[in-house]
Amino acid sequence: MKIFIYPPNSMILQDLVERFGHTPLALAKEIDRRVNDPELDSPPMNITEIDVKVGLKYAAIEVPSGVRGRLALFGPLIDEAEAAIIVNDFPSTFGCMACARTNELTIYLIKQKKVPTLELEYPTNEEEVEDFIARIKNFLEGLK
Amino acid sequence: MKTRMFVIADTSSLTPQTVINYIVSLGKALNIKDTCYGIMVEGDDDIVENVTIKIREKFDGDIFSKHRAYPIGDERRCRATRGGGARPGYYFLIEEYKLLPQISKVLKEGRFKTLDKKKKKPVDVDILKKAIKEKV
Repeated sequence: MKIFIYPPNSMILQDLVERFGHTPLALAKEIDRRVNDPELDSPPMNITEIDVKVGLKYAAIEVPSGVRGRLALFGPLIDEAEAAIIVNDFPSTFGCMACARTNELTIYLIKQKKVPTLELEYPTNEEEVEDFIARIKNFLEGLK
Repeated sequence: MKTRMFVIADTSSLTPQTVINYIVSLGKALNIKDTCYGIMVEGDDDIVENVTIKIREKFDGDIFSKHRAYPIGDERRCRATRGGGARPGYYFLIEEYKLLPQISKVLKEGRFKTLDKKKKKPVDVDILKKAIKEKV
């Protein structure tokens, strides 16, 4: 099954989803498609005004173009998702550095899709790591 | 063409060179780069995926992998042409790198036990009122 992961560029989540036999829907897939395209319209990420229009499918017109541009990357992955794993309080998704509004909208869109979703907190110690992996394992095994 | 990065857990005795030697022994046509956190592998989609499965089988919890969008040495990302500094995306990797030793340990020992988490209830209003009356 195709599992959407949040944060979408998390290595830990990608690795665990693959380890337990599913396909992760990670951000690299969308970026790969753009940056390795022979037509480079807007380097480095090749996000053009068309993407911002695509973002309109996922966010209203009054939402900043930066958020819509990001959602143009996340949106197609969410559309493909058959299940999702959300990890809250990921240190690197804190504040404007990671675009908090995009993150909120991404989680909202996943929840709206009503696919099986596992919501977890970022682990901070070994006990929590054990619990974190066990929950992901149980969730992914239950999907088969 | 697909690029994958392999990150070695901090506590592991595994070295990037050991992983490279293993990949070379598989005899596949791949482009490999040695990095400070592990290695990067580039090649045809099927070959890269096949090698990833074999590396996971061989080194189990010592090594973690993810798909990388940019090719190896891409001028838009490579530090050599961007005037130094960490490449974008490296900060995220650092955050996750801190957690890898613990994840590696759990995966290797096969300890998959969930904790019974009870949500902390907020303090009752009456208790708070009583405490305020007593102290103020």
